[in-house]
Amino acid sequence: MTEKVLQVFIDGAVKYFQHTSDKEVKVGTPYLVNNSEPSAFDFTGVIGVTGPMKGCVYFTAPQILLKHLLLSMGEDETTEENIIDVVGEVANTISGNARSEFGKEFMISVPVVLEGPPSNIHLPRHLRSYVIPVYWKSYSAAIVLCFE
Amino acid sequence: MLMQGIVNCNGGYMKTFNIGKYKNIVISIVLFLILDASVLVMNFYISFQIAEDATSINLAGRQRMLSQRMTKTLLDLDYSYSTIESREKILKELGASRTLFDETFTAFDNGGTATGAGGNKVSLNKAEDIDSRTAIESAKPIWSEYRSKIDAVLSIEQNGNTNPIQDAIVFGQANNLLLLKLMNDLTVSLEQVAASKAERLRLIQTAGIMMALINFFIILFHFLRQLRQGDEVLEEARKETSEILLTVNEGLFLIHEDFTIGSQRSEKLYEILSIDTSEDVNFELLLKDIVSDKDLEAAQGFLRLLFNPKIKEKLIGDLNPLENLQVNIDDGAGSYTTKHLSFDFKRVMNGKTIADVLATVNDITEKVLLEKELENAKKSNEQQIEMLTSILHANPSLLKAFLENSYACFSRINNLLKDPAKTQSQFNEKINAIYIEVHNFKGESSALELNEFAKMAHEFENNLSEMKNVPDLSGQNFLSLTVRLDKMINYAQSITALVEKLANFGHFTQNPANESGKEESQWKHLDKLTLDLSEKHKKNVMLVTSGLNDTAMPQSLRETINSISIQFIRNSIVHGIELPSEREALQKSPQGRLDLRLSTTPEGILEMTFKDDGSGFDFEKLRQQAIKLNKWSEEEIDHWDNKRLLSLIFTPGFSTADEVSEDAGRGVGMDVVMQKIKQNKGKINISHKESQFTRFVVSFPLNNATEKNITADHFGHGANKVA
Repeated sequence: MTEKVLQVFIDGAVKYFQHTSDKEVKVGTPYLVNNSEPSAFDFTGVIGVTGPMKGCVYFTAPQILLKHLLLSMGEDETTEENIIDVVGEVANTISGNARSEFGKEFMISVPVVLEGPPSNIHLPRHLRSYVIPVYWKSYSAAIVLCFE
Repeated sequence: MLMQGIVNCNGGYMKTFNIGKYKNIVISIVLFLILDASVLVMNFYISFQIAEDATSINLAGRQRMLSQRMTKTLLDLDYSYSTIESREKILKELGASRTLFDETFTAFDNGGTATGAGGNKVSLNKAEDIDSRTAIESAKPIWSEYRSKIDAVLSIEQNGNTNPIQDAIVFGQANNLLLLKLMNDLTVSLEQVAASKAERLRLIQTAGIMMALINFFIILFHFLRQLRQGDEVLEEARKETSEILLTVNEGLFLIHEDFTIGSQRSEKLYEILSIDTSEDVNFELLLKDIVSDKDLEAAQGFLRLLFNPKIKEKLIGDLNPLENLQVNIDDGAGSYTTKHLSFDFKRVMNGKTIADVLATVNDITEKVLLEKELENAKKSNEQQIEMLTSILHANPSLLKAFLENSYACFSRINNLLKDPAKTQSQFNEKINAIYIEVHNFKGESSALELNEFAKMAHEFENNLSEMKNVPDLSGQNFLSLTVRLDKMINYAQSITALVEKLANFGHFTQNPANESGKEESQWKHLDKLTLDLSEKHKKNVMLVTSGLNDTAMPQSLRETINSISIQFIRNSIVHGIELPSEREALQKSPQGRLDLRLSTTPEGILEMTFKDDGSGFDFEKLRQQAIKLNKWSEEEIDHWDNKRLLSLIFTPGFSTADEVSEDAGRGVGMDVVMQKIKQNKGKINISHKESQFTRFVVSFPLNNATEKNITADHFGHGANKVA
């Protein structure tokens, strides 16, 4: 997996946060995790990627961050439904950015929102994933990428 | 009879159809119509005749009345002499009756016209039947005589003679009833003729209707049977088609010119394309969500070519872009199921027109995956042969230890990356800490001559050096490091896999020390390292070791000592030992000497002594380097004694090498040594004499060392919490 590809997915997530009222978003140092113990917060938005590279990308965040994210966008109702929507939107922005960057050879799936970590289908156990922490306000979220 | 019609269909092509099979039904229907028409014509004809007969009957009946009226008028004439007017009136009536009777009688006798009941002229046929003729012939002489007598009355009346009246009355009274009877016979006879005609008409109608009914039932039963038989054949054909479509192992369907696909599709198609719709669907829509836009465009282009009559099918057969098409079916859960499909297209011709395209699709996923697997295996074999040549020279147990150390090192680097950092100083600390790890790893790689690892580590270091110059660091700058780390882990895992594979063949399994009884081989790489570095730096150096194999120690400590030894040897050869020419000028042997000794004190202290007979420390150079670091003022440094200056060598980023190379110059090395000593609760003592020697004595408490067991699985364990 090249640095350039990783960068595209990170940019997608950063773009989303830059549209909020609190634009201050920081990217932490990326590191690796074994898929046998996947990393995740409370809610996770997964998108599948296939084409020249096959795998998945997910955005995962704690509930509290997502609630504040909703509030910062002027949405007062922080119901679980809205939280799920906002996770889906972040994943959608990541996917949209990737689509425009990678062009016609890639296929990027519609995001699916899960509670907790993605399943083994998304993360083959023998592979590693890249975790890129994202710091927004005083909270941490992460973008995780796993490609074959 | 073969009947053919040509119908222009909406598709724009001409379609012919054969009505030969409908021949019988057409004939039957035509027959039915002819029969009906004949009955109708007969009806017309006979009803017309009946109408004529009704007139005849009517007029025959009038003859009866006229015969009586004439007699009555004659009697009236006899008794009515009172007024001239009344006589004239009676005579006029007699004349009219006589003329009407005669005219009608002649018409019945010979055929001709007569005055009808309404005063109009009607045509009467000659009465032909026997009874009528008999009546007419019998009445003829009577009427002839009666007429002449009436005529005589009419003419005499004009002359005033009354005798003929009596004569006529006498004749009239004598023949009156006979004439009436004969006229009645005529009427009855005519009525019978009419009745027989009506009877004939009924018969014809009944027969016609019966025949029409028979015809109808023939049509009904014959053709119903034929239709049923036809339906059975069709049903059988449909059943066979359906069985074929249900069972065939390929996806089969027709594509029309507008790219819609036909309704007859094989069951397998639904499975292959993972769809469950039997609705009308377009081929483009079918592919749209499962292939990339690039492949979709290629498919559309190819289909257009297939429907282009100017292009020969054979010429484009090889261009089929869907021969091996990767489709990705979104499972709706954020991932794709990938399949490889092979589409084959064949034009369906209708005469010279391309009617449709028959598409056949097969799931060739298994075949493609097998091919890929073979290709990967081939590639992997080639890589492994390359790797094999790079590790064959290495001592098996050292290599194993090296790999285990490597995973531990990667894990530490990863943990360093994982530590949350937001500020510039945190990022810098991170870089320095990673630097130490990578540098150490590079040293160990070089010592074992694992050049690929050394090269990767060196590039990693270059990357870190570049980052040190970035003014405003962020997490994203570390991305390249993570990618490099990933690559190094991958490479280490490949080597581990290869080593395990070789172990199956007996190589790399047994510890040569156990086999030969010679422990030296465990440290042999240090000799090689010395030799290689000497050659590289154009120096002549020998390494003398003692006690290395006589001291029992835990594996972890052995690794530490190995690591420190490598660093000392490298430092001595790069910085300490002079070039042979310089040594000669200093009255020293051109060959430099390194001494490495291990011993255990009665107190349980493991003592490692490393000594070189090189130039010792150049304190002036140390001082200059300290100034370059910009950490202290020059004035402060001027006041430093040698001990303080010497302590600089343990500062991260401090180096006295003039150029950066794989062996020195990054200022990382002695700080790693110090770190390892601290980790093992050890101490270091340095002594030197300018131009004579430098000596390091490192001591470790033996009872403090703990055995660590690091394996290839070590990486990443316990390191997976995001926050």
